Amino acid sequence: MLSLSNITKKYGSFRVLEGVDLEFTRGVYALLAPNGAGKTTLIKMLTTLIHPSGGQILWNGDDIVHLGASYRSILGYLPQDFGYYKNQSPRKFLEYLGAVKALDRRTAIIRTDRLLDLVGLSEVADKKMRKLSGGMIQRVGIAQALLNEPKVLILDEPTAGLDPQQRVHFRNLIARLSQDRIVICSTHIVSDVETIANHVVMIKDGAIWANDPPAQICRRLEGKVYETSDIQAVYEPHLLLTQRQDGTTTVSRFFSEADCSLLATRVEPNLEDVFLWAYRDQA
Amino acid sequence: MTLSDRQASIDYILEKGLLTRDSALDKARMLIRRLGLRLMFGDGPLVIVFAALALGITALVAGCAPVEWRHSVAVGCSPIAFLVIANVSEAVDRASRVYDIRQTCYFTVAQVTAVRVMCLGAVGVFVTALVAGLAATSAGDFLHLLLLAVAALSMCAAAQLMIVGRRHRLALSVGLTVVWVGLGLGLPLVLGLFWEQLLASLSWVVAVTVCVVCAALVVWRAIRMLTESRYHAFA
Repeated sequence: MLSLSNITKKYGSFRVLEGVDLEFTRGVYALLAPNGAGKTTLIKMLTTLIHPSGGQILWNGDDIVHLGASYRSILGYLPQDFGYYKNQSPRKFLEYLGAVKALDRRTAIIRTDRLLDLVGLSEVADKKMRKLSGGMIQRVGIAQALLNEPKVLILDEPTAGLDPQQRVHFRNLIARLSQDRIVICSTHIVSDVETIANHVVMIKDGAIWANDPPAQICRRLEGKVYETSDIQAVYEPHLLLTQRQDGTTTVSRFFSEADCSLLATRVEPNLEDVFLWAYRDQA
Repeated sequence: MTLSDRQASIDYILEKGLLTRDSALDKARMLIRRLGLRLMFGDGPLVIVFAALALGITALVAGCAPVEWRHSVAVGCSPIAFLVIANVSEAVDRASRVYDIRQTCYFTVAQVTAVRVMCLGAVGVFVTALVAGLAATSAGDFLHLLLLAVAALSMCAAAQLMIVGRRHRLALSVGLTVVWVGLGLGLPLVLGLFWEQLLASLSWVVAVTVCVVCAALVVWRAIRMLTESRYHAFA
């Protein structure tokens, strides 16, 4: 179990996170928050790239900073801005990272082959990475994060650059991997989160605003989300969430504390509604 | 500790066994075994090209320089190959943005840097022997030049770990090499034969003392980088 106890992170006098308490057990946890909310800071602390200003991050009761290499040996990480050696092929790059992850040569070769196959890159395994597309590079990134068969897999914007088919493939892969490990996934793509996350963690004003299963989070807005094709007719105070085209009409989806059932159709809230509502003052 | 925490800890110990922390030597040995030559030439072609260039220039300068400037040449040229290989490897790591991933691996960038400097230092001694051999006029002169050159190399290795290893910045990596080349060329040009005579008059005791102090600094710093977890993250 990975747990955060009263984590605070300050840069000078600016507090990014304050008093964060979280517990991660097996499953997929989605970090959902707008830019600048502290998601990447939290991820960098979980990956030991930066240290908290206060509090502790514990793996099975031990501080991860003191665990050092034994924590990093169970950690897989895909950063948002994935760097790679442009002159190396995916195979050479993965074998090199396998060595840095302390895998012996034979294991590194076997796992590299298996992972290249898993992410659909076997055919370009020996091409230089500078010749690969953004989506392919992202898949190399996913493969490298899995090289050491990590118990804690941390992915920062993993589906960026993937086409719809690859995204579905990736979601299935994550769902499969999460059966026996912790997967922490930071993303802006709400549809990815809704289908695979067991828990959604939302950060607001440097603190945890929500840490629940998606369905439970959606329940916060139950009975308060409506759809109408004539938003002008809604005189009650409301928050416009999204708009979509339905044939020739524009359907508006909105949140209102008041009962608007006579003017609009009440609908089931989704995670996107909650996201837009929670961060309404940060647009 | 709650019962569930206790059980988790027991499971962890049963799974991993009762482990003691690896010593610096164990870590260094394991790192060398796992990475091999990739330890020194991380990105491959680019570092090898720079290494070949640096070695070629060193051999050319040492072979062609006038005999009366041999001490300046030994001190100025000997660490160049070391500095170029060490710093190009660091710069490539930094510029390719692999840093974040590398830093979360079993062997961190700091640990690789520490072992890389030690290995390159050892290889560098052979290069200094080559430089001293090309510049020396007699066996006694060779030994004196070798000591001076190794002292210069030790100073660079210590600076590499104390400065670049502590503040992992691209500008520092490049800066250290530029400063040494600048000093190696600049001091003989500015001070003329006075600089050469100063180096020639340095006793063996001074050279050995510099070697020992700098080597001790390198080993002390490398041990800390290999064993203390607070040195792992310097992002």
